[in-house]
Amino acid sequence: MPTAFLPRIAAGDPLAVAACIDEYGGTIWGLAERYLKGFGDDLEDAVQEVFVEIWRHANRFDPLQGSEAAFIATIAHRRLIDRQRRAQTRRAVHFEDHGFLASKPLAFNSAELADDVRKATEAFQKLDADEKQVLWFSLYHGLSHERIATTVNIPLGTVKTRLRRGLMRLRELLQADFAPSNTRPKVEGAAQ
Amino acid sequence: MNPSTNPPRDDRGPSLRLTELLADQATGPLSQPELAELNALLNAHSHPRSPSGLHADAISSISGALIKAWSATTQAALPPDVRARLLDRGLEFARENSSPSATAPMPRLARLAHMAPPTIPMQPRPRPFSWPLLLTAAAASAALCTSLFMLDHARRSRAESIVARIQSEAQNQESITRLAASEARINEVTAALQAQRQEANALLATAAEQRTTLEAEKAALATTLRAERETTAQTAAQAASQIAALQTQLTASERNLSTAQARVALLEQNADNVQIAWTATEIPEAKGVTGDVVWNARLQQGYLRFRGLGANDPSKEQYQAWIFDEGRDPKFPVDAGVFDITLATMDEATGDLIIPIDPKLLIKNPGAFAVTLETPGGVVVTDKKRVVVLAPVVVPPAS
Repeated sequence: MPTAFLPRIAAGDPLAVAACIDEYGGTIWGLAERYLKGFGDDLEDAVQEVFVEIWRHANRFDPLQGSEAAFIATIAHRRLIDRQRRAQTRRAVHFEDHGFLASKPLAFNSAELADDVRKATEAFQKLDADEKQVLWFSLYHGLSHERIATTVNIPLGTVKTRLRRGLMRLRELLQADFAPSNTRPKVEGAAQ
Repeated sequence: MNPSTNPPRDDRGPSLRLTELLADQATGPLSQPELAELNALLNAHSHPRSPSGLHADAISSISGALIKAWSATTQAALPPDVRARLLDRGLEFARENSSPSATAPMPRLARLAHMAPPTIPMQPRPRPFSWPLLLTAAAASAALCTSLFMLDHARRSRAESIVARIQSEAQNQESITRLAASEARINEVTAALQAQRQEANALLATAAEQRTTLEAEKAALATTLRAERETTAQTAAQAASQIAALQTQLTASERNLSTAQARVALLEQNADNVQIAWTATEIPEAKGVTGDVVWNARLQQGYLRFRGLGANDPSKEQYQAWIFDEGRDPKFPVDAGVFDITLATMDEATGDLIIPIDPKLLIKNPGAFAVTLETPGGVVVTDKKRVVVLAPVVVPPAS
């Protein structure tokens, strides 16, 4: 498991900032490439926005709630989804066929993963195929619920139901590993 | 997210609805009403453990773990120039946040690290008083204090040295990063300029090629235009020449017509005219020449009519008419005018040529009319070597 950079970043350590960029830069860049494909958005601007968001919220990271990698990935996912929505608002986006339907969830390389990440991947394998598919489209490709519905050709409500059911089943499977702590739940936008 | 697609609220319990909203938030953006609903539900379930055992961070941690796991498999790399700029932004962020904020919440680990260790109150133990022991203890204490002071001083010096080294290293790293970013930027600008230069060169080459083509087309066009202009000028000159010739011909025809009409009028209106037919001589120019002379002595007016008389070259010779008046010396006939025979002066219909007689003296009693070929401009006295036609006036016998 990599060293936690976020507490040091919260304390204003420049070396931790540089190390954080080197550790997670590739992950977030790849995520931005996939999520913003077809939106015409500026990848560098998006990645910088994600990192600033991570640094700004570094003091909220609680290692008892999960790994730093999962914390950062969650922020990146939400910020990039938000950029998708803004890009779609700015102009009419015409999506091309990127072959989402043909793509299948990648096999995990468990050896390199943090403990909680590894356990989440193991639990994912136990889900139903339809739950895996919508989670793959949402979390790997960054597709909105509406685009998943269009891609898979199922109603929007079904997409939501499958996503919720998949995440709830994962939570049940991982109940012991994600035990609640004494911190209050954090919600994106709750402070607004 | 469209609120109309939300499932009915509270029918299955607030904790289930909370789970749904947390799952929706983990996989996509929530609408403002959904966010408000989520916050309300979270406030209602502010206890660390809700009745369903739910915890908000569990859902997002699971989704984040999956994202991280797949991203680790794809192995994307941050481009170096992007990394350099991002590092600049990060170091700027670190500088801005290097002083601890009074309002910023302290992270749990940091909080733990800053917590003072628990203090346990020490109870004094009664000891028997002893001066030697006290002095020994004082000396030992002084030595211990000195050692501790030295040790603390050395530790502080070492710590300050480490801090200085770290700061120097950070500054060096920052300088290196900035230099790398500058170099990348310079390379980028150089490449862009080179590309622009190549593009400009290509445009210049295209423009030069187009200019050459245009100049060749212009030269060809000018040649064509000059040739057409010359042709047009020649055509116009020919047309002008033809018009002049036609005009001359028309003028001559009109004059011939007028002279012919005047001759006819003389013949019709006067009974005292003399009309004598020409007699051709033996010279080649006289061969086949016919015609006559009409003369009215009272009016001193008359006309010569020829048919078959050859055209003369006015630059070399001219015809001249003569009247032999019986009251004068036959060696010196009266000049009756110089004329030319050309196609232009000939009547096209009949081939006749009518010349008005222009006697320079009063003719009293003409004995004969004659036409000779003379030098251009005529002569005062003819040598009669080249007489073409002759018309002697035969006086009818008195009845």
